This record gives sequence, structure tokens and C-alpha cells, in this order.
Amino acid sequence: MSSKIPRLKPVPYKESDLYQPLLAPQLGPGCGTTEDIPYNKRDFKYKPCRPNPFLLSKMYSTTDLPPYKGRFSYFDRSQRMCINEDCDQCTSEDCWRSVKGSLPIRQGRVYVEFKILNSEGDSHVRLGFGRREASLEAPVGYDAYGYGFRDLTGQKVHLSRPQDFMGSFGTGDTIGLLIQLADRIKIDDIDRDEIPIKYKNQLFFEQYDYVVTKPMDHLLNPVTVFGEKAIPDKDRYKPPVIQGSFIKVFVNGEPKGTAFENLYEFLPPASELKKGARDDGSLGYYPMASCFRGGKVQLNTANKPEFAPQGEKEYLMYNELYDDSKIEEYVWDLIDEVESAWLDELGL
Amino acid sequence: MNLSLLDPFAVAKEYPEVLFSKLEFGHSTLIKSSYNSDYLASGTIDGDIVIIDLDTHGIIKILRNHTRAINSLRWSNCGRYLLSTSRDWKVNLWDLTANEPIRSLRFEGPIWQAEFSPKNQPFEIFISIFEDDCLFVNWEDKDDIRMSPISVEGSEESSNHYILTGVYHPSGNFLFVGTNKGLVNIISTIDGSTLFTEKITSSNVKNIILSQTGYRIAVNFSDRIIRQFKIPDLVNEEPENWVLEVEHKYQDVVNRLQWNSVSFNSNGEYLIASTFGSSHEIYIWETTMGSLVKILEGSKEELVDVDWNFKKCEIYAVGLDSGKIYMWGVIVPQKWSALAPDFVEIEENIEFMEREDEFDIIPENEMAQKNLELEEDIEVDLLTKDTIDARGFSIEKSFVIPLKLEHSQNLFE
Repeated sequence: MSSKIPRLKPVPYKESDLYQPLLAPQLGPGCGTTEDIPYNKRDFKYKPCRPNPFLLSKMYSTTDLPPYKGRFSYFDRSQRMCINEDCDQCTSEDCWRSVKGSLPIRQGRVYVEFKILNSEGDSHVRLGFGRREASLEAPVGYDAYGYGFRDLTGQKVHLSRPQDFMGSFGTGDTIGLLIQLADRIKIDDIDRDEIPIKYKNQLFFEQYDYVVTKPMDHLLNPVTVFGEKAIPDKDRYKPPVIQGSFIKVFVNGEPKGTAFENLYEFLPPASELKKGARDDGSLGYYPMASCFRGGKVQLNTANKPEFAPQGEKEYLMYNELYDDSKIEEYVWDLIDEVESAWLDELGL
Repeated sequence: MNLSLLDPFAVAKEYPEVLFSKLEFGHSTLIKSSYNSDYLASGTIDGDIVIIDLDTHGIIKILRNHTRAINSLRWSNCGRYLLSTSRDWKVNLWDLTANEPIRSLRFEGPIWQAEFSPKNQPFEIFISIFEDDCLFVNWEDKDDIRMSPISVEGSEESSNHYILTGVYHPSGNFLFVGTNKGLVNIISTIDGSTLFTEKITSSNVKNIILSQTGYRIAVNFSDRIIRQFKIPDLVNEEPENWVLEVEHKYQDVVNRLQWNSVSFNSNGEYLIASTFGSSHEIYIWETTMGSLVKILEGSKEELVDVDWNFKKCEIYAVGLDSGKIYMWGVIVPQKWSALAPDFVEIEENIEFMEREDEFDIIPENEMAQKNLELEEDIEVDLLTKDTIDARGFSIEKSFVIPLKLEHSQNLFE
């Protein structure tokens, strides 16, 4: 908390802001792109916020846009990636574009189910998990921050290096990904450092986003470039891992084995903001889908899987994280308010 | 830049459009580019003949023997010999390996024109003389120069009737001549007999030109009309059946412009003419329909002699007052991407569409295997030379004028 002295006081809201309804982006019946929300880019991330007259110092509280469930994110998405009104389908007419889920998976065992709606002909999809830093203009598994699966060959992809894993999959298949992280992570402090801004007459919190670090980037390109020379790295960086973590794959409920084990750790210091390394509650593994030239994917946003993963009992569906996540946000809002009020009292 | 690498549509332009250069080496009166389009000979008012290299636009030779203005210049087909006449009443034959004329004849009066025969070059020539019978000359033997005069036949008014200009048929067996009474005759070069005669008009013939293909002839009369004829089949038809059929008449109906000089392009599809008087332009007509396609502008003075350089697709003309050589050409935009075929030049940004596996890193040995499968055995022929250039002209080994660099110091004396 000491990092925030003196605190940046938010711009007070106007009374009219209180009565401004919270608007979800306008989307037609099919998949489309959204005009009236900011996209996460240039190392900033956004989330919706509301003026809150009960929080006298913080003045604003975190909120969410409909639909209220574990779904694809409006913000964590390539600008050219189209989603539908329900935020459970995504498609791209361009080459590889990606979208992440709206909630991070931070702990426990979570089952995420993707249904492939189209991967015919020239259209392709890749599915997997990505961290905050994973690039949205590349397929999942492009960098050290993601783990993906390729529909064309059924290969698993990490650090852009495809490795044979299972047979190819395509239109109509339901790919279930079971991710096991640490059972319970230790949370000392959530430091959110968020600033309310107005974008197209709507209020959003703006926060620093996590940035790709040099050693992680070198895992993808193990060379250092000096002018016209490229010198290969001598030592390979070994990022910290989450012991016992894994990703298991199920095609239409049928187990295909463990694709990745000992996933890279996401808690600080493994993830870094532009200034310092701290947890703002958004760290974790996000379900991530990438579409290529009309590839289309649907995310299961129900509390029940379409095909139950055979041999697995103890798991949460992705959507079941929703309530906890929102309650947590609310708790951290209150803690922020107490902290801000105390700082205000000190006159800082 | 190599022409064949450039935009084929720009290279394939039929006629020049832009005035791109002016050259001034003395006061030029007459120009003629060589058959291979490498050199330009320019006759000056002082009687010098300046040879200009058309790649560098620099002088590579000055031939000095005449003492008055040059009034006719011809290149031999091989490019080694030059035939010149001048107002000093001399006809000279130059070998461009030397600086002196190898043959020279002086006449009793002014000479209009001298012309190489296609046969036995450079020793058989045709000369037309002011108010005298024109001559076939064979000067192969320096000491035994044979001349056979040709007089005008086929006309009642034989007094004061002279041949002014002539041009050889590509076969070398026939000569087309024009007289001061408006006659166009075809003369056999074998015995000098007139095979065909037709009175077209009653005014002077100023120039006769023949297209390289030998299908068309254009005659510039001083009645301000250029008449274009189709040449009859001279080889297979009997002379009695020959007909000179007028295809088109080119004239300026409004201003009644007099035409100074005319020239065909390589295949005879276009005809150009320079204009007399205050109009400082070159007209380009298309010869199948007879329509005016372009007027070349840019000179600030009257243009006299015009010449079409085929291989470079350029038109040259001489200004009357300044003696400058004006050059019109085709400006072909440079296309450097042709040197790197995997690069493309774009007018505006286009979105890159990556492949499905664009981001994937495949181990090097697998990649090499993949490339091997893609690559086919393509034999690259580096030894065979092209036979035609980018504009479709056959590439021939042509005579290169030897340069003596130590000589160049006294070139401009």
C-alpha cells in the first residue's frame, strides 16, 4: 500500500453520471466488432466502472457489462476479432486474431469447453490458455505466455513450436481443456492502481497492463541483436513454474492425455507491470481462442459441460468462477476505499 | 536500367510523348540515327559531322571535311559508313574507323541528296543534283568511279524537269524518285530505265520516305500535302500492272501548314512531320486510319529535320534558329522491385494476410526438408543471349565506333 503515497485523487463524477445507464456494446445478431469501448492495448487495460456515492474517497467502484457470466472479454480482444451479443462466440475474417476470457483462472482445477463452429477449408482455429501478456494479434501459443492447440494437425503449440500431440480436430468437435493450477494461491495484497476515465461518454477504469519481459521474450527468440549481428543466447532462462500444474485435453469428453505440465508461474515476480511487479487481481490463465479467416469458436458459458470429461470429477466450470470473482472485486473496492480515506485523512 | 525489367506497358508505348532533352553541339542542320539506334549523326551548318553516342549523349567523333552546311546524311546498314553531301558540292563517304573520307566526289553544282543502295553497301549510291540528271554511282574502285545518269522519262515537258529526291526499295532493285513537276517514278537500278511513272500533282516533291517494311511510301509535296501510297508488288507483278494507290493525304486544312520533313516509325504504323513557319510542333499520324494521334510540343522554334529512333522509341528534331537537337522520348518509371522478384511495389498499404503456420517455428532440418520438396530443378540459362529486345527488335551485333581517348583533346579545336 505504501507505493501509493501520495495517492492520485480521482476526478469527481458529475451528478448526471449517477443516472447514466451502463451500456453494453451494441452488437447485432451475428458476430461483430464493437465501437464504443476501449481495447486493451499499449500496456493499458480497461474495465467498466460506476460512480459510487457510498465510497467517499474512492468515488467509483468496479462493475461489469452484460452478459453477466464467464464469457469472452470485450476488452481483452483484438480489434478485428468479432464476437456475438452473448459473448460466447468469436470469429475473425482476417488472419490470426485472438480473444481471451473475461475472468482469470488463478487457482484450482477449471474446465473450459470450446465448441468449434467452423474450421472448414481455409478457416482455422486454435484454442488454449494465455496469460495477460499473451499477444492478441497472434495465435494462442505464440509466445511464452500461452499454451495452444492447433486444429489442422492436433499439435500442441507453445513458444510457436508445434509438437505432435493428438489427431486433428475440426467443425463440430468440442474441445475440453482442464487446467490445474496451484490449489490455493497466497494473496498478500492486491494493488489495483486504477484511474477512472471517460471514453465515449462511458466510465472505465484504466490500469497498467502486464508487459512482456525480456527473459520471457528470449524464450521465443533466443538471440540478442546488436546492429546487424544476432548473437544466440548461451543460457536458457528457466522461468518459475507452478508445481503440479497441467493442462489436459478432452475431445468430445474423451481424454487425450496431458498436453502441458508445470505451467509457468504468473504471480509476481514472474509477471511485471511497467513499474514494479505486483498482483492487481487480473493475473492468471485466461481461456483464449484464436481464429483464422472465418474460423469460429463457441465458449461454453454454462455451469455444465456439454461432454463431461471422462475420469474427472473435481473441477469447476469456467462460468462458476464468475460470482467469486465479482465478489472479490467488490471486497477490494472496499479495501481501497478504507485505504484512500485514511490517506485523505492524513492529508496526503 | 534494363528495359526488359520495366513495366511492359510503358516500354511498349508506340510513340514518344515527352520532350526529355536538348542537345547543342554546334548549329545542327540535319540529324540521322544509325540503323542500330546507337549513334546519332548531326550535320552542322559549318560542314562538320558530329557523331553522338545516344547512351551517354556525348560526342564521340567529329568528322571534318565539308566546308559548307551538310544537306544529306545516310548511315550504312552495318553502321560503319556514313554518306554525306554538303553545300560545298561534295559527296563524301566516311569510314568511321578513320577520320578522313574514304571516297569523295566534287560536282559542278549543288547536290540535293545522296542515298546508299541496299545492295553492295557502301559503294553503290544514288545522287540527285541541282538542275541536272541524277546519278547512280559505283565507287568501289577508287580509281575507276562509274557513274550512270538517269533522266526523267514519261513526261512531255522534259525541259527543266529534274529528279529532286529518291529512295531505294529494300530489295535494292528499284528506286522511287520524285521530280520538281510532281511526278513519282519507279526506276530500275539495274539498267536505269523508268518502269513506272505517275503525275500526282504539279508541285515539287520535297521528300520521299519508305517504311522499313517496304509496304508504304510517303511523299511530301510542296503543295502542303503529304500523300501516303501503298507500294504495289514490285517483284511479282509486271510494271504495266503497278498502281500507286493513295491511302491517305495528310494536310492541315485550317492553317495550310507546309511540312518540312517527314519520317516513319519502324513498322510504318506512324508517320511524323515537322512544320514550317511559326508552328513549332511535330505531328504524329497513325497510318492505317490516317488520324492525328499526337502533336509533340516543347521547342520554341521552327523544327526542320526530324528523325525517328526505333529501338529507343525516340524522336529527334533540329531547331532552325538555334541548331539545337530536341529529343522526345518515353519516360518509363523505374521499377526496382524487378530486381528482387519476391518484392512487390504497392501504391498504397495493403493488409498482409499471413499463412496459417506463419508464426510457427519449425526446426531447421524439417524446414530444409520442406524446402527441398518445394524446390524443383530449374535450369537457369545464363549463356544464351536474348535475340530480341524489350520492344521486340532483334538484337544484332552492331559496329562500334572505335574511340581514341587521347584524340579527344583536339576534338573541339
